Amino acid sequence: MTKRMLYGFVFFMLNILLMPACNAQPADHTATEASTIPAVAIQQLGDSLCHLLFTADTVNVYTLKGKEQPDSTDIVVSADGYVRDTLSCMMPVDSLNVLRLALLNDSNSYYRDTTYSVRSPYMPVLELEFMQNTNRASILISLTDKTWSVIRQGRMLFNCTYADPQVLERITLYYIERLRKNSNMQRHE
Amino acid sequence: MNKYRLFIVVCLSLLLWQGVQAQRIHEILFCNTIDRSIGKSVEIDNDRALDEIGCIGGYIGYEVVEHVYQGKDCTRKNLINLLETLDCSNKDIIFFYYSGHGVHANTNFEDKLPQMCMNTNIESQFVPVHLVDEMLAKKGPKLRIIMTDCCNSIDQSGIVQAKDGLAMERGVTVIKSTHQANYRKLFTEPSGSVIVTSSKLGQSSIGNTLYGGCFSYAFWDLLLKECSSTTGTPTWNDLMKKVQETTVNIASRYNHPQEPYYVVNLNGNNSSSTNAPSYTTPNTTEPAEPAPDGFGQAINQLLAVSDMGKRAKTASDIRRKCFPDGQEATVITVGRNLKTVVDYEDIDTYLDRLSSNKKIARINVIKDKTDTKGKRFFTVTEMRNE
Repeated sequence: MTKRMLYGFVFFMLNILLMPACNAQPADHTATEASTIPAVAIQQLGDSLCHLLFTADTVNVYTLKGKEQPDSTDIVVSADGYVRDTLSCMMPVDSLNVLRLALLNDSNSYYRDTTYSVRSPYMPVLELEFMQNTNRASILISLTDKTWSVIRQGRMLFNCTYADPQVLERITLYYIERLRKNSNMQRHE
Repeated sequence: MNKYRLFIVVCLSLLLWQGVQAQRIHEILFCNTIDRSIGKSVEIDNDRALDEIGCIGGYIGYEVVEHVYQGKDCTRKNLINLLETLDCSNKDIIFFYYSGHGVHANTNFEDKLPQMCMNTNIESQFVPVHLVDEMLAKKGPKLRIIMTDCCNSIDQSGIVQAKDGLAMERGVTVIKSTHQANYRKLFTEPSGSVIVTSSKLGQSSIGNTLYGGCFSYAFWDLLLKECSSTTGTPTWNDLMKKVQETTVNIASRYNHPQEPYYVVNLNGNNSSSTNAPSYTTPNTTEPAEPAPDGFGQAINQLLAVSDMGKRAKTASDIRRKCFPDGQEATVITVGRNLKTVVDYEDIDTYLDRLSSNKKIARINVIKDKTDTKGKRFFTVTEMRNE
């Protein structure tokens, strides 16, 4: 066996040994996110919006209020007169994970039975603003008709009944209560 | 002495005027037909209520005064304005009907009735049903019926599919003497109030684009059945119990909890599905508002003319006044199910038919639409004498 053949053999063996190890390595971050996004979400919201909602790590939480006639200082988030009331906080990562699990990852959140309709009004109370660089979109939660909507640049792109009312109500009421407590404390100070 | 005579004459005139004044049903409809999620099903409710209340007027021989506010007109402002100015006598019936979104505040559980959202989702524009009841009670009608088909909370889910008697009524409505007696028993004999809403506190109401609201459909269907019955005499309590059972049954097929809530307070007897609302209703009278004018009113005035020669003249007057400059119009007559087309006529043929047919007792105009060329299309139902 020549020296050159020996090098070739060692190189070949190393390749064989390294191949399973390479395959076992986790895929990159984007590939992982893509694999967890339900197909129906991509179908309903499109690639770029899904990417933003599933990967953004900065999410601002605002409470909303309905106004008959919004004025120039109001930030109108919904065409039917709902404006930002107060910035509650930035959503912590663990809350965001729960939201993604209970809402965005559940394919039932994208399904609406069109054979009937419930006679409760759409009244969004919470806005979750997802931010990634200059890219922004908001999720609005309406407890009265139990729906969530996706808003981008003032346009409603999607509206559907959420799959897990208990979790969504808890998250929404948590932030509304939190804001109330903060405003009460400020009044006492 | 002359003063006394004058006083007596004035008193007699007032008494006679009261006697001559026709008894009326004030049909007050507020329907949110423009909502993106429920507008189409509410439109079905609107059309059915228009027809059925018109039929009630035909059965009991009352003049029907329409106050119809749908779509963009279904607002708090219009409702309050109407309730403040409504002219009503103590012989009249008020039938208030609302179909749209509803919600209940989470702070006032004493009030079992919902708030009507009208055509908006801005909370300040909502109107509580109890306010409508209080304001209508002040008008002092003989009977007031308040009926709402909307949610009463934030709970929801389910589906409705009702296919009973009303769907089979494909022809024109025939006024049979037994039906007439039953309708009179329900609407002209009792005095007081009937308040009914489609779901009790904590529940939501459902509907679809095929039949409208589950509760509304059950109500109109059972009202027809009860009044068509030849074996018994209908009462509001029985009717309400049956409407409640039917609505619960239909909704339960789809695992949806929906149980209508009602309060019947007639001739001093109070009964309700659960506890009555806690508010009290005052009782006084107030006036003012002209009756609406239009094609529907004109053709019913035509039908009231018994002399056939005069009818023909009245018909040509209607042609001239309602359709100036030879405006074209088509009248589509549908059956009581509001689906089966019974007749399709141009306006001249239609008016000729009305002028020469003594059997037609009443026409309910359900829809009035104008196309881009200015041609009008009316959808109507017909009531005929036996």
